[in-house]
Amino acid sequence: MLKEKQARELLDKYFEGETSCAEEQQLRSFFTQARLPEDLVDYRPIFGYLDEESRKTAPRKSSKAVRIRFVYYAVSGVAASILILLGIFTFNRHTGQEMNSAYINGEKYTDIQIVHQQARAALAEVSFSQEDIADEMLPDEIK
Amino acid sequence: MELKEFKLRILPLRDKLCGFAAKILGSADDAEDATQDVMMKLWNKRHELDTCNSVEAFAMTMVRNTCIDMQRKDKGDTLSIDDLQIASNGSEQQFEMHEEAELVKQIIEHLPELQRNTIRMKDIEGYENDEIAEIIGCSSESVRSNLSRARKQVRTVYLQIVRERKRVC
Repeated sequence: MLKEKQARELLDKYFEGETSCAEEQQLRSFFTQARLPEDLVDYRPIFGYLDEESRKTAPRKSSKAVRIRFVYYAVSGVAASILILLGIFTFNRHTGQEMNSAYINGEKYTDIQIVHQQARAALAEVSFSQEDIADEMLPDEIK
Repeated sequence: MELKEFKLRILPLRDKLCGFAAKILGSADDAEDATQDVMMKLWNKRHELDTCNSVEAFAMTMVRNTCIDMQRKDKGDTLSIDDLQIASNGSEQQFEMHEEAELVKQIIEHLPELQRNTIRMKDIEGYENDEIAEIIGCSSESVRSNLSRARKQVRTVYLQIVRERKRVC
């Protein structure tokens, strides 16, 4: 929570149109507290109203940070799946037994068709076209 | 239509829209205000633009209507307190939170259109100044100044009404 002194500074910045959205969020939470200095009490409904309205408005877009994190998760997920599949097949080759099997969602499958199909579906789910990836990675200015 | 496409298809029309506004309003400053306002409206309607036959014709109509509104409101830079009497003649001694919020809402609604839309994008929809500047094709300094004017106007009118009420009670 903001200290009173910081809040006053931010309030001045706010009226100059210089606050970021994050700072405005801090101001809003400051003005929701029960005890406010007397000269600031009158500002409460202004921030209260804006806060309420912005809650009613759907978030305009998922933030870029969230999207980039999603790409990282997806890429590491794909890498991990490939490693596991490779591991299973090399292990089986080394043991030399006719026992090709894979675990899908905890169940053991020996039918190579099913395993291929499931692996492909899993990869498709997390795959990106080149354009998708370029889109996520490039900074906005370049687009 | 998202930002990339908006910038490709709509921003190039900006000069033409601004020229058209200047012809109607006869002032370059007012034309710039009208154009910024129209750019925001176009951004708000960006999903409908895809189905539009001619985005340019649509935008030009929007400029014309916005300019006519501006002239009708006599530039609308001043907000008369009389406009807000509906909100402030409450007979109760105590002004409850929702009533005060309603007053803030009305004050914002009575702002000149460009100021109102700027407040809406920044304070309610959560765009940063830079993003707004990018969308409406102006400097972020110009967004900051509109925003500042709008917020100060809300503050002045709101405090004036609330303090007057307190004196009466």
